Amino acid sequence: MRPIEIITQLLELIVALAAAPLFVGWVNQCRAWLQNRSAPSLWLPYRGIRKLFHKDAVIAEGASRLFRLAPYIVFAAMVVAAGIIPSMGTRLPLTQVADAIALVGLLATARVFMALAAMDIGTAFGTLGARREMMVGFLAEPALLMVIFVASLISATTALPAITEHLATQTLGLYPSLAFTAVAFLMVLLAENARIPVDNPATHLELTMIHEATLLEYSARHLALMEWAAALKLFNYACIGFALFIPWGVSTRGSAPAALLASIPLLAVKLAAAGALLALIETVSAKLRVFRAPEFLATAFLFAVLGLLVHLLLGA
Amino acid sequence: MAGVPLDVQLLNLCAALLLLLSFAMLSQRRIVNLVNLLALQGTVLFIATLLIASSADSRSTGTLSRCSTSPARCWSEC
Repeated sequence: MRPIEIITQLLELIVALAAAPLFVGWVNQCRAWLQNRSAPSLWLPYRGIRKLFHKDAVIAEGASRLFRLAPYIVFAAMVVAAGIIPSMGTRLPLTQVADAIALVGLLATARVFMALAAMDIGTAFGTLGARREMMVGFLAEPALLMVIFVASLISATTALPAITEHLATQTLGLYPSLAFTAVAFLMVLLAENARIPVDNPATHLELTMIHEATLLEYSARHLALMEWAAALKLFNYACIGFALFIPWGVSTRGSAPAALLASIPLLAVKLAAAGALLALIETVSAKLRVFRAPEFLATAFLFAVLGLLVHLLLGA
Repeated sequence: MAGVPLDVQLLNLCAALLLLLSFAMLSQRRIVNLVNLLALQGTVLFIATLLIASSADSRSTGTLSRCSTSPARCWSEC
């Protein structure tokens, strides 16, 4: 393992951990601007996490060890996922043992533990949230896999850095298959990260909430880890999108070590644009009823399948 | 897509759009939407035929396509 690989890996993890709450703050700020509200501070997610870490945890009676362990497992899964995704450089040692399918598996592991922890206490809201979370998950996962398969077919590999390198070095052209899968990926991103139209991150209304219902029983450091993991998940999804559909500016194997530093401001620009787009989508679209969520995700899957068909039939 | 001419890329795009429109037509419940999608499909076919005509340097194919699909599209839009 070369020093540049270790530096790239560490830098990616540090940037992901540090920038994930900032990204959430940026999305919230953009949403507030678009809705003519006074915008919250960009640093509010950090303050929230810091405040929660300083509080004493209150744990419900009858909570098993699983309930206490779940936040650490979910957070660890998100951190490892951030280490697999080539957000700034493709020289990542972790990717030699985990490809894009393993990444989907990591995200699924986090979801399963979150759902198990929500059901562990036995409250109605927790069970309701867990069931809804799993419903969204099992519909979004095939669509995400299909999106990754299309990119894998184009690049002839399932390793995310290799996919990114291959797509970044391609000549500019029209790729209808990638356009369809980009739409599918955007829909999956919205659903998986509990954003409008599938879920509303700003509400605690029992009839509509999905993700928040699974966190109701958590407090203090456990809640802080869960919130941080949710921010990391959004950051990771954004970086998967950049790796598959906007792969330019990433430090590749052939580039100089200085390219790694140059990729940091470019990542910031991409994140700023993605956050603004996410806020715009959330502002112009209405929240779907929970029972319409399968239709939304079925459409995402259809787009991904269309992308696959277009690639297989036309080679484009 | 390296080395593929632009007109072939555009034709591929048209083919992909046709595929998308076909699936969109399958999911329609109202006949008006279906007719609108059919009109849109006619437009995409028209563009595709024009592209082929221009790349093959054949004026007759383009004119024939324009003559056949444009009135059909106008009729269905009305």
